[in-house]
Amino acid sequence: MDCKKLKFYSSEEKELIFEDEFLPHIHSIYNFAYRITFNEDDAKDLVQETYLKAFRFIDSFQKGTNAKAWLFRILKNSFINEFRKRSKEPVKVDYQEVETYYNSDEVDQPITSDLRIEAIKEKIGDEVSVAINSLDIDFRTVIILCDLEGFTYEEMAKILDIPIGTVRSRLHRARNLLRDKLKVYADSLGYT
Amino acid sequence: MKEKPCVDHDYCVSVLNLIIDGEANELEKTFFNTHVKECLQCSEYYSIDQAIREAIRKKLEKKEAPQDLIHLLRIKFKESTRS
Ligand SMILES: [Zn+2]
Repeated sequence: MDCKKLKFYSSEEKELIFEDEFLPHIHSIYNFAYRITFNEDDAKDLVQETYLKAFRFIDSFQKGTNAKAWLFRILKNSFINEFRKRSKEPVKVDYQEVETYYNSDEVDQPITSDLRIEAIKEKIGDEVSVAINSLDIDFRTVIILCDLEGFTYEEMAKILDIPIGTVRSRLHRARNLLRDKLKVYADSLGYT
Repeated sequence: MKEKPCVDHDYCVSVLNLIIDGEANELEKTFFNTHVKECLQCSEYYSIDQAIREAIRKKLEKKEAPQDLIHLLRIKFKESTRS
């Protein structure tokens, strides 16, 4: 945080920042907290902690800038500092059933590419939540930040305190893992 | 069904990822637009990644913050401005 730009807001200004810039992101923040803790109480605690920190450091927030990224960054730091060690392990998912399901669609079926992709889309929709939840937290995080929250590489780099190149490679690995988990790779035309 | 194999699929995949992430530059977009149309392997890869992204946006349940939490935060905020 840039100390030169630090200024002190009046109570009215703070109120406006809280209502117009912090609170509108509460659902995104809560959803993300839930996706990384898998627990509603932990998610609530994490969100509360995030907002309490935001209140405490409100003077270092520049009005009208990217509040969403700023809040996500606080949340990520809170999570690392306090929650990671006590949050529950992600539920391990048995993929056997899923695999059997996907493999039943044999490749030699006379089916056109477009139709096949439609079929794949349908399966993906049903399994995407399970697949994402089974991803390692670092991969799950970048997928949610990018695909769900629409953050850019640059914003993600700031939120996660990692270089843009790392964001990019982590995201691409995450996508590959998702493909594997969703078994679409095995399901595709046999390319490797 | 198979066309000629992709010449440098690793490069294609890296560009496809940038396209999916909305981070490709003009050169990469042009490459994507010309190449993917004629490469079955790449167009499939792209379609699947796009489908995954679409599923994440549409099918992943979005948890809403509970009202009692929002209420509590408003109280805590009021307290913080008073101190
Ligand atoms: Zn290609």
